[in-house]
Amino acid sequence: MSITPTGLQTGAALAPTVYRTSKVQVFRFSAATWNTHRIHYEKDYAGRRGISGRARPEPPARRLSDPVLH
Amino acid sequence: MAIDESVLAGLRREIGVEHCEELGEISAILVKRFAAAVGEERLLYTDTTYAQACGYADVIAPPTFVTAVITWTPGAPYDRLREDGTEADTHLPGVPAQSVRIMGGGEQMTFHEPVVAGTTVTRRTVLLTASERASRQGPMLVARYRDTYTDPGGVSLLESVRTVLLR
Repeated sequence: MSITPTGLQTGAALAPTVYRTSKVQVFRFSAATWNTHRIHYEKDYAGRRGISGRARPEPPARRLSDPVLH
Repeated sequence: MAIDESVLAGLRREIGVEHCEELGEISAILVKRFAAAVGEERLLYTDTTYAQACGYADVIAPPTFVTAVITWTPGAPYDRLREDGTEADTHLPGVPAQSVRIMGGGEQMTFHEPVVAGTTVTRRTVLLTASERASRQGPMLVARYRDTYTDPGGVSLLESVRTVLLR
């Protein structure tokens, strides 16, 4: 078995996907990536930086490969 | 705040200069923890036996794993952290060790080969551009870095061009 494209062409539009994350998920992601930035766990600090709530560490990584990998 | 011409000049001196760092061996436990953290359950990322049956030496890393990890060092002591909680010794050439706040501003990744646990990975970093931009919270600097990750044979595994915002 190997990773191969599934027939998607470059530039093809993918269906929108909605992700909802919990504080625990955000914390685990930060821990797994050694991300200590305060905007991810201090709501007040994030607010002073112009961010509403706590900032999610990165765009959804979970199913990034779904459309293109087996 | 310390964003001024001297910070921008320091960044611009680094444009085009390549920095090379051996990140070390990508361990299976870190790969599996990352997979768990992002809710990834595919066996190629989580089950060594299955990955080996598929022809890999061990599990392979989810696509964004290598670039998502902030540091590959054991971690800085507390007094080497910036005010924003990030480590002062980042791999961001030209960024002062203190008195600037850092935020990610987007990333474009190109995947070439799977990153298999057990692989020793080397990262080459080049600052591509640095410029000043106005924002609602005052001036900020925008820096674009290219990171290229290779295996010991020099094979490119993936490339990342990311934008870093400095205030």
